[in-house]
Amino acid sequence: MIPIPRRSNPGTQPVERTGSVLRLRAIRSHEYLPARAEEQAYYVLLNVALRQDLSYERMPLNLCLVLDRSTSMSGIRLQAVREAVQRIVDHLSSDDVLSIVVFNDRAEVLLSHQRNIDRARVKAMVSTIQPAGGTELLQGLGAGVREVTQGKGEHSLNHLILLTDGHTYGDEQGCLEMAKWAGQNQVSMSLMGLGEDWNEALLDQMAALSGGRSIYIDSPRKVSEAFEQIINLLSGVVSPQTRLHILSGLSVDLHEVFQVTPEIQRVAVATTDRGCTAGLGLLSRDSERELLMEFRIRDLKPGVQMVASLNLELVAPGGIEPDKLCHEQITLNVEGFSPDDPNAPRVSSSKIPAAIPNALTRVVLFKMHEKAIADLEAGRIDAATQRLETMASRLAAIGETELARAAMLEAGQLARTGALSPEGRKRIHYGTRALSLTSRGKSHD
Amino acid sequence: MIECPSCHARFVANTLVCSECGALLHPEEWVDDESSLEITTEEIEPTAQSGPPLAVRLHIGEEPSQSTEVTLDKKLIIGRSDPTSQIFPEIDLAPYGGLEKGVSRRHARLSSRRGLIIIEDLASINGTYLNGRRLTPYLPEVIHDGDQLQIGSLPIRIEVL
Repeated sequence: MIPIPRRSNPGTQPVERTGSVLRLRAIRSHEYLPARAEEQAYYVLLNVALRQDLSYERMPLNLCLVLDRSTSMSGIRLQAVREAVQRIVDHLSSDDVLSIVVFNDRAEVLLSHQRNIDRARVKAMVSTIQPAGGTELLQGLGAGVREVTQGKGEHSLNHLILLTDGHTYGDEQGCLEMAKWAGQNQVSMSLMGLGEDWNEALLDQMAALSGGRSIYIDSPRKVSEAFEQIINLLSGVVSPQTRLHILSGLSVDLHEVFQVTPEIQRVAVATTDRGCTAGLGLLSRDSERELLMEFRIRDLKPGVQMVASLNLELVAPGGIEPDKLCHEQITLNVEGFSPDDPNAPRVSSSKIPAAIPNALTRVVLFKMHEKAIADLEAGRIDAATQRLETMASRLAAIGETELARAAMLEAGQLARTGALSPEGRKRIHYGTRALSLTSRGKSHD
Repeated sequence: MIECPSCHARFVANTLVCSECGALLHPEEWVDDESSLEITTEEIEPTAQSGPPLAVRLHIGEEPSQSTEVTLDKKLIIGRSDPTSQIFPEIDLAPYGGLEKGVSRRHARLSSRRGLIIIEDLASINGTYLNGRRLTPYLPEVIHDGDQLQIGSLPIRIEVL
């Protein structure tokens, strides 16, 4: 046990540190726990944000658009993509580098990486994209990664936006390796699926490997909006790589970490000599991050003990003066009390802040969906159906009536046909991860 | 270990939500939103560490607005009084049409720290806006002289004194 000075009023109230450009705020589930050998769960909700009054310069973008032009993109879909690209071109500054790759069974570099683009020429070029052929993702991805790699500048923010509407076959492993290589070489990716017939599991994995995100676009009308959201996010990026180092206390293990805001996803944690490190990817000025961590404490003794020290650092930042950037640290403690101690009246008033179970409820819904899909893929139709029904009732209980209805409909569909509808499958997949956006805990009336 | 009363799955002690069926495992120990505010109202760091406390004038409602002056010597709840629930926020917007304008009983919190003025939304239903941008619940933000707040649909202009 590590001796730590006792604060006069530790509480489960947020622990906050505001310094330099970062703002960390941690809410702990427990201030006191019974001292016992048995393993106990302890949760922390960590909010990471950049100070809003921060003055910074936008990092120059090195952007590559990789666009599916297979036959299925014919008509309104390809037209929506042409328009979206033409609008993006207007958002770029003369310092930004743009490249455009179109692909079907093979890839074609429409615009090789170029700074200070001729907007009119690029728009005219984009208007000539015609649909043909099938979808081979790796073809487009490979050409796109080459372009974005060649377009790198000293302080550029390197990003690839891929949009597809079809399944790719046989090259999935190559796509994953390419995404991993990109992530290791400071190229993040936004992977957009349009319509219902694409592989969300593949795009999810690629997003996770590259430190980006996968995005479901259910209608061509929303393509432009999705592109602009990415550009806005990139424009606010202060650090292309953010890392959280987690040093657990003695007899404490980090069980799992989930991002809950801006969308729910698992956070991969790598074990290092100094504890664990979680890569948080891009940190944008306008989009704060919230993480839910679960620790397991064993053999807790009476007295104050460190659960973990959380240290957030920005890596290779651009725009801001480097000497203003520093890491920020928060230390989390818990006090073990003897259940027999008559002088522990404070224990009875030790309550759990609602923000933690609220976040956890959403994370659990995300996990239930994962398990339902795993059941389905293993041929356990009854178990998957039951999970979807349970999910539906939990979703309804937290006021997510639309998603609850979708889950219930899909449970019925699954029981009848043994399969989910492509639309319902995506709606639930992306709906569960967006739960933190649509309802952040119980609201006051 | 504890057992989920709903699906009987077993979990480590203090687990809060059943990951099998989503049931809440310790609801009786949760702080409901209002009492959680009571806890967060307690200071981690003393307010106004040096110098006299900051004061602001709030210009409430559409122009011509009505103004009220407050001293930020402690955290102040902005909300709408409700005698039935025994809720009386320090900055009471009920007289300014708070109910019609969608002001929650405990809507936001105004405070000062290290010479900065801080606003924090308290998970209000209709939201708190700072210069047109909706605030993330429970994420404190710095506000400045001339900033425009919106509590539900009720505008408040900030004048730092």
